[in-house]
Amino acid sequence: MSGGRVTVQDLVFRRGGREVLKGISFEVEPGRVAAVVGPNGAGKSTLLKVISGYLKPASGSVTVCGVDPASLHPSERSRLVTYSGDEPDPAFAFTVQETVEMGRVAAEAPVSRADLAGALEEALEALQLAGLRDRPITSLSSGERQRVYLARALYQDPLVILLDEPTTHLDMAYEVHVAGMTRDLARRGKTVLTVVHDLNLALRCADRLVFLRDGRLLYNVAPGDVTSEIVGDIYGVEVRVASHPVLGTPFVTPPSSRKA
Amino acid sequence: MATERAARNQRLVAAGLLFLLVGLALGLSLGSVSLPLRYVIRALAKGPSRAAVPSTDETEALAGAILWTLRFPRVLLAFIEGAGLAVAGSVMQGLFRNPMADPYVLGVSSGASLGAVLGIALGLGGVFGMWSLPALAFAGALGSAALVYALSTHRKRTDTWTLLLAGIAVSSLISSLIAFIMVIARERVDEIVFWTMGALSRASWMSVAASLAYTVPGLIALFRHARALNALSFGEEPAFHMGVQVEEAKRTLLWTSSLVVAGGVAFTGPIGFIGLIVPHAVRLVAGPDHRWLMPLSGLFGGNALLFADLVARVIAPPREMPVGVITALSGAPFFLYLLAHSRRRRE
Repeated sequence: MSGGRVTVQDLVFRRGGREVLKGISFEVEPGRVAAVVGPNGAGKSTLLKVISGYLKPASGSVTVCGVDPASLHPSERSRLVTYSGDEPDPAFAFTVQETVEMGRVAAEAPVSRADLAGALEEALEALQLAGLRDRPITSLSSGERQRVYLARALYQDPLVILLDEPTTHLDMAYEVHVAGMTRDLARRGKTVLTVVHDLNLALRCADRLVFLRDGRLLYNVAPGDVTSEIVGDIYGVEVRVASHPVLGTPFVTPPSSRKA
Repeated sequence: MATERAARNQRLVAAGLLFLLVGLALGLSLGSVSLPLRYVIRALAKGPSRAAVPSTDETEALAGAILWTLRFPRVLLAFIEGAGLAVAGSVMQGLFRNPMADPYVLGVSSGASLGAVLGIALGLGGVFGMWSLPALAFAGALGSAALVYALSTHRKRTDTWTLLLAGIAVSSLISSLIAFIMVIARERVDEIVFWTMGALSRASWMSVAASLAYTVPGLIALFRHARALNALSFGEEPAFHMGVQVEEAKRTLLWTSSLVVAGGVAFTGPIGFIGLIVPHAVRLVAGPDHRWLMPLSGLFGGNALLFADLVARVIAPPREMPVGVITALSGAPFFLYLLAHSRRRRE
């Protein structure tokens, strides 16, 4: 399975007359994980929603596998790219399994029924939801619900998956689990763009880090090239970048509050 | 669970059909004149042309006439309209992600009332024969829906929140217009009040045929969007990312359900609570999946109006209550019970 290349060119997005994205260009190779990082209000979620086709840019272009997702029929688009982020509280008591199954709501002629059942089990398994499958989603905690929506995106199975803060509501164990799942998706050829707040999580699971501030892309670097200058420039705080004692990946530590 | 739910919902279908049979039997035999069930069965077997022919038994011939010209179209219209109201209610509740939404969200009921009230006040009742008031009510219903829709649609995107508010505003504007007309046309107030309370007494074979003609294709179109509605009930943006044609689905669902409701209301006047309570109650038992919820709401909504009309006919003989009074009288307390019940379940 080959992943989708994501190309963003001179992207400008306006909301209420204000430029939220100010001419962003970058590319994500097929089968790679790119973490979009930056301070609050930098335009990270907006960038993902424009790439998904949900928001229309004022100018510039987005292509996934060479086509603009917004130009496709919704059911074709759903096979190419999906976005998974925070959702409004569920209004009705669909079960976990019913909710995950909605990932294929737009799929026209599905593969065989057996394949579909297999994919469903895989998606439930990937987020450790098999035991919760008959629970109404209205009875779940926000973390459990977040896993259900992630599983739905996996079951939808598009080439490109956009994850908007997939670990906000998750405990540490699931945070590590989802990071591993993200790597796993890339190994299977999926392209993943994920907004992450925890820089260290981004450094562990991404191939590229895309730094946004104020609607501009300031740095697009590999984890090994992240320096304290870059982080300082983006967040306006002093940090140290060290090598993780166990993983060997770069590791960011904020300044000690006692020193400041 | 999935198969469990399917099995339970199949039992619900069976129960609904049984209710329907009982409702039909009672609806045909009870009324200001009660007819023994054997007359009903014999008259049905004979068909409309031979049932009313005076035979050796005068009562039986009278029974045949009452059945074929009055009661049969009446029970059918009750079932068709109840089904339409409840399915439209399930659609609106799903679309607005709110179990308190009812089929009149777009102002269909007040629009229909305005049309009919204008017709009554201006004495247009006879211009197009029996079709005048229904035609005016239908035009009023669709006019109101179009106004609410236009107010909340911008660049081909319809904002559901604005739609809800515009519906409330337009409805209350129309209600005050109706009050205004009632004061001016005081000599026709009785007629106006009776119309706006909703009654099935004006049912005829023509109204049955007309309401079937738009309800059946309308319900089919709605059922075909059940999966999209499931996705939409998670919110429009999640549904977009799942690959649903959000604006197309919304437009079809809103307009088709309003059309189905407008058609029913045009003949009977507004009938409340069926479209609010039935889908709500069915969802508690059958779950929120619209592939089950919509047809089951249709079945039980039809039954609910059938039984409500039965009560309307026999509760205060020889007088007949407007069925809208019965649905409100029984619906409001039932709704309060459901509210308390679902709150207890959540806690």
